[in-house]
Amino acid sequence: MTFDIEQANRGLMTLSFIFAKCNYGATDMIWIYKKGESDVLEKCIAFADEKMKKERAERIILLTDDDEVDVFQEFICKVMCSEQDIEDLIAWYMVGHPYNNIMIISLIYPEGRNGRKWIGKGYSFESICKHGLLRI
Amino acid sequence: MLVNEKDKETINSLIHNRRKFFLDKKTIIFGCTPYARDIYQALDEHDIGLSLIIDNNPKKAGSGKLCMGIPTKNPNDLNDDEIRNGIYIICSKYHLEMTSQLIELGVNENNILCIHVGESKKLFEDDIEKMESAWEEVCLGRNLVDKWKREYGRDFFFFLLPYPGTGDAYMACRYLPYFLEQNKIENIMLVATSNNSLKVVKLFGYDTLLVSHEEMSIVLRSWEVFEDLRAFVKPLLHWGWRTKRFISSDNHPQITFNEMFLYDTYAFDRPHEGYLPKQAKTGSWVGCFASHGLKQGKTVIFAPYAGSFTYNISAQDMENVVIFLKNKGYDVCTNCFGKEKPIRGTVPICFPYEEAIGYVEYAGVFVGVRSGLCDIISSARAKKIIIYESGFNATSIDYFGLVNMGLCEDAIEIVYDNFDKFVSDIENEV
Repeated sequence: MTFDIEQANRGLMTLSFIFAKCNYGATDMIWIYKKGESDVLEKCIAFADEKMKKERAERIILLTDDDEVDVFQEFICKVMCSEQDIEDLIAWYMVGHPYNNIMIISLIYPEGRNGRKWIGKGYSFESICKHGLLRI
Repeated sequence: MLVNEKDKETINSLIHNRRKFFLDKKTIIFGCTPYARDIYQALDEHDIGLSLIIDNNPKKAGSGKLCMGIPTKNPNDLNDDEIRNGIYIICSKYHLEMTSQLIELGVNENNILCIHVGESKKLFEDDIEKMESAWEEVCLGRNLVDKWKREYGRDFFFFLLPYPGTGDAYMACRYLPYFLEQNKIENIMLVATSNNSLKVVKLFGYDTLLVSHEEMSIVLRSWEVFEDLRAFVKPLLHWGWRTKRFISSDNHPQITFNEMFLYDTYAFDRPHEGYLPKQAKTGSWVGCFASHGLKQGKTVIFAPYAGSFTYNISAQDMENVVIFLKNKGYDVCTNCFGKEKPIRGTVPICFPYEEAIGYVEYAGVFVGVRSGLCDIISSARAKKIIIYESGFNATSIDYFGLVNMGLCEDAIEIVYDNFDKFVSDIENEV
């Protein structure tokens, strides 16, 4: 996936719109999830409570283009976005700065990048998601 | 958490501007974090003493633990004097909670100084302007790589060493030939911001390019976005550049420093035996030892300094070890250069990396805190006692241990906890 400034700018606009819509505040975390890595999302959701305690967050706003994502935890607020929106958000993230309260739930993009290759080399998939990606 | 140059400047300038604030007060840092080291250095540069470091984590503070040689406490154990006369420095994203905790304990709000750097800043502050400036940096980075390619050749591949640690440069070079072979790369340049890194690179015979921190930063920016081999750029770091991987931290030590290079940095699918650097056989150590009156085979080279880590072993403890070694009949010298001072009672010596093994083998014994120098001398045929620490910002033996990493089998490795144990360990081994 390659990025350009227009796409990143669109991502920032999308994020601003979502912030207003969700009444985003200092105790919120944003998770961006692009369809295709459901095993990663599932594992991260299992650790969501622990991550929130660590970051002293009260809510996770999950932005996704995957309508099959099923979230029943009341502290996770799922916001459906278009595929284009999610790609724009990722472009924004790659160009901009990472923040602790905004992250891409992925083993392809920054925090978890290359995470899968550790599986079987002393690490489980679970620990890759927990320590490598969520940094708990 | 990575403290960058900008963070250091912010810490330094704030301490400088507020230096009068500390007069006649006890200076206390709240938080045993990597920022504490830079705050400590900034205070020291302004001749401001540091009395105490406090932290809520019992693994880091309290029960006689030291942090950079400074006593530590849990905030709840602060005494009246510390509460009344302490100036508290906080540099953390949890500064609001930490400030509230201090106020609840009775500290005057005016005696709390919050330094806002990197991740301790407000969490969300991007806007279009910042996005444009970030993209500008990405483009500048790309242009700089193009400039290098025009200068050195279109087929040149640039390997970046963003981190100044010599151990990182050593490990990167140790396995680089396999990566070059695997990817059929012939013409390369190793790019670094520190002369020390480049000295290590030269041991392996690679061409080097010294760049500024700004240049390194924009090239990394560009790599973050266009990361792939077609960019002809690859950072050689044992953690993800944007966020330090917790995977390698003290809490998850299943993996070692060299394995991070093998499987993460280079993404090899199997282990490789690392290449060894070239060593010069000049024999210069003979003259050096003779001029300092040091005995061949009965000298201890003490290496108490490490670039990236701060050790809690006090100067007094080091001096006591020197006295012990001398009583056992050893001559003792300190490997130091620049502003570093020799341990009292020892001769200062300094040798280039390419002669390090020669010096250590001629001396007979090397005692040093874990640093990049230990990687370089790991293959020396001499007694090698390597000192590690546990706790805050420490060189974990699990992750950095020479034996664990397979660099050598004969290193004697000691984890420093307290002086008595340290001396008895040395006593047993020398």
